[in-house]
This record gives sequence, structure tokens and C-alpha cells, in this order.
Amino acid sequence: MLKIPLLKNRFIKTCFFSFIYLIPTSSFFIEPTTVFAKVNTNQENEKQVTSLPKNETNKNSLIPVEQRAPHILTFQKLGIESPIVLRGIESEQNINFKIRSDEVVSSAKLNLSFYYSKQLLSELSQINILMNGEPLDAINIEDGFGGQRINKTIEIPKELVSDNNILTFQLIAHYSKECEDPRDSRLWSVISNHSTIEIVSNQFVLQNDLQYFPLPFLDAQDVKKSSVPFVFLNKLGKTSLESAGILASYFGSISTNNNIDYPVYFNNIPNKGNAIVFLDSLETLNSFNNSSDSSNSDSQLLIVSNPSDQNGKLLLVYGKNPEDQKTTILNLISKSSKLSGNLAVFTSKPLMEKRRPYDSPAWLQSEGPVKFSQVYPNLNSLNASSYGTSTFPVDINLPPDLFALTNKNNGIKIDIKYSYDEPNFAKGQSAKFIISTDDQIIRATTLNSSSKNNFFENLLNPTNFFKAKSEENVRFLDGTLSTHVPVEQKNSLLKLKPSFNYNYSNKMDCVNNLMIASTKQSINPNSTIDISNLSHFIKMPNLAVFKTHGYPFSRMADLSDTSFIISGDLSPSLVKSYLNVLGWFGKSIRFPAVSMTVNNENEVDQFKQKNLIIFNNSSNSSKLLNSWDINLDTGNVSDTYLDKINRLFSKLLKEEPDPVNSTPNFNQTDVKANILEFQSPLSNKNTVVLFSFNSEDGYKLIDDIFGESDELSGKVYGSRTVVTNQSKFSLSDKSEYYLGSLTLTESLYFFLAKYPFFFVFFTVLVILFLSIVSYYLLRDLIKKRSNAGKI
Amino acid sequence: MNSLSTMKQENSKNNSLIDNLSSQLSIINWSNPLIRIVLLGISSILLYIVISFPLDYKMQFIFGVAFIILSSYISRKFDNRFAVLLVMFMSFIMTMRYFYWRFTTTLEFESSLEAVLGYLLLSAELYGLVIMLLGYFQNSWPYKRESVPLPSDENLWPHVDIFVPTYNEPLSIVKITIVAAKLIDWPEDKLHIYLLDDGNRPEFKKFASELGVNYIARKDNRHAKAGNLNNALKESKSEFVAIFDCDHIPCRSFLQMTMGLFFKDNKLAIVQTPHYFFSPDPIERNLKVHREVPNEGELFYGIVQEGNDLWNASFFCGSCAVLKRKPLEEVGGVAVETVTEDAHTALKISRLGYNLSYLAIPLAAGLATDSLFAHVNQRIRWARGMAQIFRIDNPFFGKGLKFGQRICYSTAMVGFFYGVPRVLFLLAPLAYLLAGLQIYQAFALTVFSFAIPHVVMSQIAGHKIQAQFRHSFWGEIYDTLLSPYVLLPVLVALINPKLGSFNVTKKGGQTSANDYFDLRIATPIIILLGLNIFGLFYGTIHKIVLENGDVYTSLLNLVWVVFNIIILGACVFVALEARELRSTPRVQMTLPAAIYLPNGKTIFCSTTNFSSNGFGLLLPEGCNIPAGSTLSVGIFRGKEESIITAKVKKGGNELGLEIEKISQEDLIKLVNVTFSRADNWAKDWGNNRRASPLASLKELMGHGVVSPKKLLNLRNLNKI
Repeated sequence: MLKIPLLKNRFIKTCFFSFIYLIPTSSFFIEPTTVFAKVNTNQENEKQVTSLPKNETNKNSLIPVEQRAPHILTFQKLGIESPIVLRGIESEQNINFKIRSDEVVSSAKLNLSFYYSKQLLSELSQINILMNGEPLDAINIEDGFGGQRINKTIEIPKELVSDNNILTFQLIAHYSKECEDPRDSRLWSVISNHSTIEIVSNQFVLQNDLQYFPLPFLDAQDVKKSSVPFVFLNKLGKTSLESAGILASYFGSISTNNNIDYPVYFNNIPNKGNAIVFLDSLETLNSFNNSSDSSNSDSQLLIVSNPSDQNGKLLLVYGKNPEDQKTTILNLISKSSKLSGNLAVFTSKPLMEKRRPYDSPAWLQSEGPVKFSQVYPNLNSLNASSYGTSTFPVDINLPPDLFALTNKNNGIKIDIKYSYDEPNFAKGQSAKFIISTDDQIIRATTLNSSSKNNFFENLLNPTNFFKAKSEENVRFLDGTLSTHVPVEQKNSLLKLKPSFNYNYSNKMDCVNNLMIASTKQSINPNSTIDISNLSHFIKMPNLAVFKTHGYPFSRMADLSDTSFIISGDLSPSLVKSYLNVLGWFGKSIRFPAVSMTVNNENEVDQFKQKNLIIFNNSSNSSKLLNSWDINLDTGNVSDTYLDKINRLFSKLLKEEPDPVNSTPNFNQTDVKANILEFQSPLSNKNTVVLFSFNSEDGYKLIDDIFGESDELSGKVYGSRTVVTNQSKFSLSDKSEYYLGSLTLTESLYFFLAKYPFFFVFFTVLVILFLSIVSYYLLRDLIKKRSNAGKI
Repeated sequence: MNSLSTMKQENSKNNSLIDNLSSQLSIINWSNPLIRIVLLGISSILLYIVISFPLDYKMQFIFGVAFIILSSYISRKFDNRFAVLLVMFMSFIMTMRYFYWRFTTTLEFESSLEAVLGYLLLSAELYGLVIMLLGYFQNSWPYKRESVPLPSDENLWPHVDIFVPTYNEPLSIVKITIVAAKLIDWPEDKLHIYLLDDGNRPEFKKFASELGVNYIARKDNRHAKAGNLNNALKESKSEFVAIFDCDHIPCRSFLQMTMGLFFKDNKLAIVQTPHYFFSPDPIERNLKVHREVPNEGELFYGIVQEGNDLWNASFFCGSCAVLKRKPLEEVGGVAVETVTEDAHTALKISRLGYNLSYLAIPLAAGLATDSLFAHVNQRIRWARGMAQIFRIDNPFFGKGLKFGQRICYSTAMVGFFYGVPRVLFLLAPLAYLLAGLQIYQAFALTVFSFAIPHVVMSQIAGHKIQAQFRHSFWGEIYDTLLSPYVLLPVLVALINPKLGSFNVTKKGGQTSANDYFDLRIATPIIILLGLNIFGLFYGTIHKIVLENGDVYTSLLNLVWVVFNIIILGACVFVALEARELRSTPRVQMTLPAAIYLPNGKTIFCSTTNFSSNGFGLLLPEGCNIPAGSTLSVGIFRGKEESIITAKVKKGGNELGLEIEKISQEDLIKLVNVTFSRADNWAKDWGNNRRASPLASLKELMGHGVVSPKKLLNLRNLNKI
């Protein structure tokens, strides 16, 4: 019998722990978390379903398979990019890790490697380790071991492990029994990010029930690379490609950390594991479904075990014609949380809400002010208690094409309401509230007690003016700050860092053995960030924003403006790349591409007004590309005379050279694939991205690029990325164009900013105009004056 | 040579093109209100773009420098109204860009103390902006009036009363004015002279009856000069009234030149002429720049009044003016509500729809205030009076004024409120240097890139507008010196216009026999100077040497402090009163003269200067006459000769003669050939040396503390 622990609501509230929970995030280091401003409520539901309920009532659904080989997660893999440094008298840091929902941990251990300061007092200091809020172990500080690397292995009781786990390291540090400065530099401990969590788990096979979908095909929370095979037992038409693409993008959109690969099989089913199977023959369907009451409906969605692997599952997407398959897929996506049983039949397409531009859940919503409560991952992170400094970092994804003029009053509008413990001015304390981003301080303001409110308060009660401030009546004050964060198109990830900074005078009194008292700060969740007044405008081609945001295709989150054109013979590798790109789209938009279409290259009328993504094998001579005269050779790009002048001016004025290297060195025969972006020859408002594959290797390389690994994505920019076995080059050799629109003033400013010398000329013209007008007006007046009162 | 001639040809080609264009532009009906509204709309949009267009500091600096070069080129190369307008608009745009930037980026303060000080500084800057803009408007096209000939039929000429009000001035001064008034070319039966003696002094009465002019005295001195004039208005009846302060000596042609204007325009109420001073004002005298650097008065009468005249808003300045009795009586006589009765009267007359005019020909001359103390008092009175008018009869509101008039009158009044902003400017850099307060939230290089074009171009434009009437930066001395004094009276007058007392400007007195240092005047300036010098040293050591501050910000503030020190230094030396040897004012004038020696010989020589009781003679080379002898001297004016007997006080080649006990007849003769000559003052008018802004700054520095010559004079301090 299996015993599955029920953990989620079990908190032992000892005195010690209640203390920790009162101060949930000690503030020295708060792990930055990427946040998406608006979480789709549907997805919320789906998430609940994907995390499998592991209680007794459900145990029948689990069939144990085999014990998996222990897998080892380094902290680094869990997103801790640098060693964990704990400083100060009390500090803590959390590490999140997840266990696949269809796995149950049989044993787990923690291999720690750490250092601590030599000056820590052994009797007062320790490092507590907590697992999901419950004490796991404590590392006692021992004299004589300070400053040395110490390794320690800690067994984690399997009852403490759940699907989503928080591992907490908490340093309690003292260097003196008497008066201490809680920020003293002697108070530190470092935990290596090469420390590991070793997990041995059992995997279970689920029953054939759609209620677990997307399990077992995909565990959205997995950190490992997943593989979802797609099998096509029917002839691949454009509608089948659409169905498969939509499903691939759906998987992408719900996966949080993992990268998904979509191997493609034509007419055969993999011997092992799970697969999504598209089929249009009823006989074939019945051959899988030997047990069942075969219904005669035109479309079915059926989950069965893999005939050649009892542990594997097949999701059969049956449709007599491809449209039926698409209907099934769309229903599967939109109703996945309501399905149950092993069979589902859908007859009509679900109603899909029409998307508005820029409403991708991956981006900050641009239709009005967005509250911080929607921006920050959890509201607890908006409160802090600290000695000296507290930071409230948050990463905000912005639409990549935001445009603002460079002066200060344009940009992302931020209205912050905050509260803070009043610094004790009488003792020489002062405090600042600072809003900064990764690379610059946006605004700093001194926190005053003599703020307006207090002044008027004091007016009402004049004796307050003369009252000395005592320790007891420290007030919790409110403040507001409005500012604009400049928009930088190069970096659409806004790393916003509101922070409080208290300064203390050198002479400090001791209270409760501490030189400085802990202070509380908080940011009101009703603070707002607003990009609704900003224009969308961006210089194209720009493969960098294509790679990072899927822009401009992602402007409509459901890709309703996008058409995929696959020219030439469909090979499994080509379809695989197609599915990988769609999976990647889903992941970057966080929304499935339910409205995208696949077209043949001769259906020009249907994709005339659309953004195009073209997959082309260079062995195939595409009529469309030939008619557009697209040159796929990457010869040396020669600068025109005009280019040289432009470069000279940009060197003189902007000092930032174009990041694109103009003369790449590679052998033409090494080129395996090209990614090109250019303005659609069919419509000047649309963009074409062309994937051109020269060899079988090309497919793999493109899959690697879009199957993520961030070091590769950095090399994709400009108008063309040339992919060879060894490396990638990007260049700008296509004529530039602009997407989006500006207000009248902005476009004028943009024009003048682009040609600064024209601005001087323009100013001269304005001055001439004004002078001429006033000259004649004044001359007119002079005439009138000389005729004044003439008799 | 060839290229030169082709250039000329091209020029002429261009000219014909411009002519063509301008003739087409002339066809437009510029007074059509619709056209004006459209033009205003277009201009606003264009201006908004140019002003608000964001440039980073490097581009802004390049942009600024480009326009500094362009505007100084235009300013040097061309001398016409269009060029002035071009330069004005360039400066306007640079200034507005500065302020746009200032408003949008420099006001995010970190603490409330900084915010309070920062907004104070900003308001001071805004004051400067308002004054600059009003000044540009006011001086956009000075209206050069010419005198209008009188009808040839003398019977049509009207009766004129001449009022000479006096209160406490010595008879020796008043005498000349009365005599000169009597000599004015006008039919004798139509010229009525009134000596209005508020001092009620018997010797004045005696003098009046001797000379045959009317004498009016009052029992009380209610409303001072205004009351005096109003009293006289009741006792006289001519159609026109000319008013001369008792120390303003009219020349003979005064009425001939001015009265014609009234015949041309029957709605005309006032003809004002410049106040010309043949003695230096205390600032000129103490800095020894008389006739070198133009003074305040020359700016006012040279440019400002003509500028006002275009908008029909020239001022009545209390003296050297002709007024029509009817409008004057319609407003109830000279205004008594404020201490600047003249400006207020003009404003009131203006409100009734009458026209005002200003004739820029000096037709009377007088004495400038002779001591710094008196000068300061006079300015305090003006500032107070203007503030009073601004408060009780604000030209921006009320009936009867045209837009241009409202602007010009306001300019004149607001122009006196410089006290607070000026003191703020003198103290502002210390906030950073001494206390480390960032009252100006900006990156110092950005400040340079916006402020330098703004300041430099306003100087260029100011120079272009005022060229020969005011040298750049000298205005700073006048304003800075007076700012601590006008500050309070203006504020008081704005709060309650009735508070404060009236003080008479004392003129013609004797300044000290020795140079002396007027501590009363100098104290606030010395305090400000001390603070700035302290700031300079402290800032240099603490911020730069010990590296406690941002280098650029510190430099910016140090440059500012140095400029303050130069100005304040010059002001301190103004307070060092120079010796004035003579007890009566003296006017430089070269006239042919002949000395009739007792032995029958005649020496032909020339005069050097005159006063009311003496004159100087320059003998031919080799001639010497000892002191003590009494000579009979003939002074020629055209073919006329006046013979005067005088005693030689100073002998040698250059004689100083004193007329003891001058007879009525001799006095008339002397005045006739000297003070009342029509061509006396006009030839000096506006003929000041021009100086470029840079040269001017250099001169100014020569008068600051940096001048060793001046430093030597410091020993005089001991003599107080």
C-alpha cells in the first residue's frame, strides 16, 4: 500500500515558527521572480489539475511502475545562479523545487556545502534548514570551523516532500553577547549553489482518463527537458498541421520551466512512452480501442495505453476529416479541466474569446494602470522588516515595441504608495526611498517626518513640535511617489527595484542588545504601473525581439494575424521544426496559437494581409520566394555609400556602434540554415520570417535555437541569422522598416531625432517664420501709430 | 577682386529675390484678425515643437553653440529691425528650451528643504524670464518719432503754462531753470511761467517778482509734488502745461519742438522728452565711467520709452513734458494716490483713451542725484510707487487699455520687483557650496548645455536691442546694488500700498569734500559679498580639493559665485563715494569766448565748462593770467555775444572764473548762451561708445575687486 502524505495544510506553529511566519521574507535577499502581469484564470484551473491530487481516494488511479534512478538537482539548476549569501543577524533565503506530479518520492537528501564566518559565536548562532516551513535540521556553528568549507548531508524525510517545495535556509548569527550591530560584516554565511538535492522517486502510471490531461504527456512544472511525440497516421494537410501546431503551442504555453521537444513520426507509433496520435481512419481507431463501445461519431478524443508499452499512453485525435481534428484539439485546449473518462466527443468548435492586440499574458497589460498586486508574485513580498535596507525587486515583461521620447516625463508611469517606520531623526537617522532599475536610479526621495501630513497634524497640536521623539512612538508613515521609468527598447524586461535605505549615525545606542532597531516597510498593493499611454513603434527587421518575444507575430496572442507557409515536401524533421517553433511561440506568449492558419504558398489571397512564417527547404525552389527575389546567399554584404555616411554620423553622435558585425567570416558551404526577417512584399504592415534549411543538420540547429538555451538566443538579431555547425552570425542586410504608429508629435520628434541636423534647420525655419510674421505685424503697427489721430 | 564683385552680384540677386518676397508679403492684410489668429496658431505649434524637442546634453550643447554662433554673426553683420527680431527669437527659443527642460526634469527634489529652496530659485528665474519676455515685447520695434513743425500762423499757437515745482532745493539751482524757462522761444503773451514753491521761501518770492514770473506758494505740503502741481492747475488756465523739475533746465526750442505733435493728433495728451543729465549719477561717478558706459537713464529714454511709444504706452516722467490740460483735469489732475504720481497719471490718462507720445530729443538737462544715498532713496521711491500702482490700479485689469499698453505698463512696474529674485540669485549657489543642498536637480553638464545658450543668447539679444544705450552686464550692477533696498519697500507696498513714507529726492547738495565710504548703503552688499567669497573658498577647498562634491556641480556653482563676486565687488566700489569739488553742478561745453583785458587787448579763447556761478576758459598756448584779477569776458553764440564780468579763481593757462554777485541781466545772458542752447544735449544723445558683451564683461571685471587699482583705494576706508 502506498502512503501518500497530505502536507499542504500542516503547519506546526511553535513559538519559533510563528516568529518566522510573522516575518515571512527577511529582507536582505529576496529572490527575484519573473512575473506575468495577468494570470489567466483558466490556466490557474489547469494548473490545479496538473498537480495531481495524491490522496487516498485517488490512489486507484495510480499504478506503480518502477523506481527511477535517483536524480540530482544542483541549486544552480534550480535557478540559484550565484552562491547563497546570508548576512546580518537574521536572514533567510528560499529555494523552490518541484517534483513531477506522477512521481512520488521514496527518499531524498540534501548535500550541502557551506562556509560561515569565523567570528560567529557558537552558542548563539546557527543555520536552520526548513522544508516547506517545517524544521528539517539545524547546522550548529562550531568554533574553529569558521571560514572553512564544510560538507554535510541531510536526509529529508519523504513525508516532508510535496509537489511544490520550498527549502529555506535561515541564518541566526551573533558575534557578541552584548551590543551588536545587526548589519555587522562579521555576520555571514555562504551556501554553495553547487549543493544538491538528491531524489529517488517512484513513477506511477495513470489510468486512461482525460481528467489528468496534459498529464501524462506533459508535466507543466517539470524542470527537465520534456519530449512529446506527435504521430500522424493520416495524410498531413494544412488543417492537420494547424491542429498539431495549436496543440504544440498549448503545451508550450502551460509549461513553466521546461523545454519541450516534439519528435514527429509518420505512420508509426513509437515503441515506448507516450504520444499524441492524429488519425482519420475509423478502423485504425478501433484497432487501438479494442475494449470499447466504438461510437460512430466523426471525431473522437481517446486516451489508450501504448500497445507496445503498457506504461505509455497514446492520445488519439481522431477525425474523419481534418476540420474535425481541429475541432477536437480546440475543445481539448479550452475544456481540458472539464474532461473526464477516457473518451470525449466534440461536435462543434468552442467559442474563443477574441483577443485584443498586446493582451498576451506574458506581458504587462497595456490597457490601463496595473496594480502591483497583479505584478508581484505574492503579496507577502510587498512587506518587509529589515535592519537598514529592504528591497522589493520584481521583473516585469513589457511589450517589446514600446516607444517613448527620451525626456523624463515620458515613459512607464509608476505610482507607488508606501509605508515605512519613521526614522528617528533625533538620533541622526535618515531614510530614503529609491526606485531603481537594473542599471539606473530612477528616483530617490528622502523620507521625512516633516512631511505635509505631519506638519498639519502638528499644527493642530502645536505641542508636538516640541515633544522629543521617544522610542515608543515610532510612527508608521505613508508616502507616495510618482515617476516615469524611461523606456529602453533594447531591454523589454523591466527589473524594477523599489527599495528603502535607512542611514544611521555613527553613535548608536543599544536597545535590546541591538544598535539599531528593526524597521518595517511595505509597498501598497494598490500601487500602479501604467504603460497605456505609450505608443507602440519599433524598427524592423529585428530578429532579437522575434526570438525573445515572438514579435511582431505575438502582437495578437492567438496568432490570428499569422499564417504559416510550409513549402516543399513535408519531412518529419521539417514538421518537427514547425512544431518546435509553435511550442516556442506558446511558451513566449503564454497563450496557445488557436487562431493561426497554415497556408499553401499559392494561396496568396488568404495571407496577403498577414504576418508570415515560412519554412522552406532550399532544395525546393519556392515560387513565392522566387517571385519576391529573396537572395538566400550570404555573400559579403557591401556597404553602400549612404550606409557609410550613416555609420559615420551615428558614430559621431551616438557613440554606440551598430551591434551587428558587418563582415562575417564563414564558408558558404557550412551554412546549414538561415533565419531571415523582412517586410512582407505583400503588405507593408506585415512581416515575414523565413526559416530556410540547407540540410538535415539545419533542422536540428534551428530546434536547438528555439528549444532554448539562452546563450544561443543572444546570437539571433538583425535581419538575418546564419546558422552553421559551429556558430551563428547575425547581420542586418535587409532594408529597415517600422511597425506600429506614433502620435503626430512623436512622429515629428522621431523624424527630427533621426536627423538631428534637420532639427537645427527646422529651428532656423521656425525662427525665420516667426521673425517674418512679427516683422510685418510690427510694421503694420508702426504705420498705424504714425497715422494716429490724424486730423 | 573678381570673386568680390561676383559676390556683390550674387548679393544683389539675393536682394532682388528678397525684395520680391517682401513685396508679396506686404500685400497680405496683416491687421486682419483672422490672419492673425491663424498665424498665432501656427506659431504656437511650431514653437511648442522646437521648445519641447528632447535632445541629450551633447546634442543640446552643439545645438546651443550653433545658434550662439549664428546669432552673434547676424548681430554683428546686420543692423536692421529684422536682424533684431531674428536674434530675439533665437534667444527666446533657447530660453524657453531651458525653462521647458527646467520644469520637466530638475524639480524632483529629495527633501522638502531642498524643494522649498529649489522652488524659490525657480520663481526667481521665472521672474527673470517674465522680465526678459516683456522686455522683448516692449522693445521689439522702438518707435522713432520726429518733431512736427508748428503752423506758420503764430496766432494758432496755444497758451502754455510752465510749472517749476520746488520744495527745498537752493535758489542757485532753481534760478537757472526759471531763467531758461523765460528764454523759451514762444510768443511772450502766450507763455506763463509759474514758480511753485512748496518751501514758501521769501527769497524765492523776491526772485520771482524781480524776474516777472508767477509765484505760487502753499500753506501745507499735502501730496508733495503732485499736490503742488494740482494747486497750480487751479490757479492757471492755459490749454497746455509744461512741467520742469526745478533742476531740469529747458532749452529754448523746447516748445517749438514738442507742441507740433499736438497739432497733428488731437487725442494726444502728453509729449514726454528725455531727462538728460549733465552730471554723472553716483554709480557712474564712483566707478568713473561717466560718458563711457551708458547709465540707467539712457537706457530708459533711449530705448524703453521709444519701445513703449510703439504700443502707445510711453510714460509721463514728471518733468520735461508737455501735458494737455483737458485730459489732465479729466483724471482729476496729477495722481496723488501713489508716490510715483507721474507714471500713475499717464496710466489714468491712457485709460481714458488718450494718446501718449515720446519725443527722443533731449530738450532739457538736469542734475543726476548726487549721492549714492540719494540715488538709492530715489529708486526706492520709484520701486515703491510702481508697486503701489501695480496694487491699486493694476494695468492688467481695468478699463480702457489696449493689450500692448497693459503689457508695457506692467513691464515697467514688474521691472521694479527685482529685489527678491536678485538676492536669491546671489545666495543660491551657496546652498550647494556650503550646505550641500541640491536645489537644482540636474546633472551639471546638462545644466551647462541648457543654461549657457540661454544666458549667452539673452546677452547677445540684449546687446543687439540696447547696443549703445546699455552695455551688457552693467545693468547687473544697478540692480544688484539696489536689490537689498527695494526688496522690502516693494513687498510692503504690495501688501499695503498705504504704508511707508514719502521721501524727497535730494539734489544739488554737496557731496563730501573727501572720498568717503557710505557704509549705510554698502552694508548689505558687503554681507552678500562676504558670503560669496566665503562660499568660493569653502567650496573650492571642501568640494574640489577635498573631493567632497561632484566636480561639475561644484564648478558650476563656483563659476556662479565668481560672477556674483565680480558684480558685488563693483557694487562695493560704488559705495565708495568720489569727491565732488564744486558746490554747483558743472557742464562741459566748448564755446568761443573773448577776454577783454583792462589794457584794451582782447584774447580769443574758448570755454571749457559752465556752472550757474562760474565757468572755465582755455587760453591759447602761452597765455597765462594770474588768479585774483577780474575780467570782462564775452561769450559768443552764433552772432550774439554776452558780456559777463567774473573773477579769476584759478589762474594759469586754464582759467577758473567765478561770477560774484551775478546780476539778473548777466544771468539771463549766461543762461542764454549756455544752458538754454538748443543744440547742447542732442549731440551727445545716443553717441555712447558701443561695447560687445565680452568687452563689457572685461570692463566690468576691471571695476570689481580684482582690480589692483581699486584695491589701492581701499585705504580710503580708514577715513570714515
